[in-house]
Amino acid sequence: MPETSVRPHAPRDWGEALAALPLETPPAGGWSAIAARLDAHRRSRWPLWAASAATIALALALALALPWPSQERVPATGVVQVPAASRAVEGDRLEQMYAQSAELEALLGLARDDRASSGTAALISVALDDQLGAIDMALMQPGLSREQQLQLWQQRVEALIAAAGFESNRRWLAAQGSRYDAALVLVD
Amino acid sequence: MADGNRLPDVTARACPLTHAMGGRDGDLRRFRSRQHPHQYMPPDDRPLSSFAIEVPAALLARLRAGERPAFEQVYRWFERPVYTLALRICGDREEASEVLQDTMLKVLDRIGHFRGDSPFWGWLRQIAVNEALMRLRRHRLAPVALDLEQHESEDDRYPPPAAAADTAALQRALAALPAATRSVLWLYHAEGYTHDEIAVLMERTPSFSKSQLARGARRLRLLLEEPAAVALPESAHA
Repeated sequence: MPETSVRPHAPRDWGEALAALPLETPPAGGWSAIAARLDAHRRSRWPLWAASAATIALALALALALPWPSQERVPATGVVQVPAASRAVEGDRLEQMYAQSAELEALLGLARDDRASSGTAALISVALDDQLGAIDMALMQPGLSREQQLQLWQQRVEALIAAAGFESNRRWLAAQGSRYDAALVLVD
Repeated sequence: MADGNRLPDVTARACPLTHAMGGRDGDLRRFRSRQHPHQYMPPDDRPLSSFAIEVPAALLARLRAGERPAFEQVYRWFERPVYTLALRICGDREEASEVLQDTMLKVLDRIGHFRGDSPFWGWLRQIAVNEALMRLRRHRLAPVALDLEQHESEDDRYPPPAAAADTAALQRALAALPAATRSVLWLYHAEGYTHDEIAVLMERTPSFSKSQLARGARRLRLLLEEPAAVALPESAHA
């Protein structure tokens, strides 16, 4: 409680009367509470290197968890003569990529949260969707050779891995009270 | 708590600037002369805000650099002015404590936006006023004020009664006022805001500010002269 007093003379005006009131003293421990909130805020900040590490770790985890087709990457141009004996294997590879693609789409659906997003994150998300859309349009074209299908499905899997990694990272940042934009510019 | 961070007596009447210059009247003139032309400049006969503490540029630079000790020092210097202002507006000690915390965290968060072309204390005070009024609006959809239907007298222009020299009695009378009325009185008389500025801050009209000032002064006078006459009608539609 502030100290009180009675002055010997009446105040000239209300300004003088109010100005004569002693300052109130806040409860003890105010600074400790502020310091604790600052520490908590600092712990929750998500630096760029950590965001990058999380993205890389997720991509690696996906790469290790899923059969990775790039070791048998199909040449971008030219016709590959596929021996009859290996057609069954290629058929399996295509099936594998269908499965990978489905799993990644399910993961993307879980990771994506469209209820709130920053402008930058939304733009990146739209760009990734456009990339997937272009691949899907290419896959819908009639008369695709098996090699072209393999190549396009491989691109689709890679695009989905990138999209799932981005969305997972964005959700993680949101859970930490941060945003993708902030992670992009944070320097500490 | 580091005692070295606490000023000997940070009050409107005894702030570090005042101590350093060795006399109140000279202090006020010199301080006013440094103010930004758009910053509040009270007439010479008005008391100086309790916020009017000059913060050295070096301390501000350390604050901008994110140094925790510099922030603690600023906190220690301004905690009482902020808490007092918040208590006068909100009328509740717990809410005033929260306003103090939120204000100081916003100061730290926005220090990069402080350009330095006006006194730091004025910038900090603006954040504190906004925080307190925002909290008032949040918790009371329409801040309670005195009814405006009655004829306004000019009570605020007459000298207060002798009982206003008793700070305890004046504090009790202030606490008995509706929150919006008390806020107008405090912002106008103690902090030196104009009616136009108060209207903007409270999202009302200058007429509202003038009416509340007149009626608030009248009510204060009644409360001080006749403490038994406390039960006067209030209105939330003002």
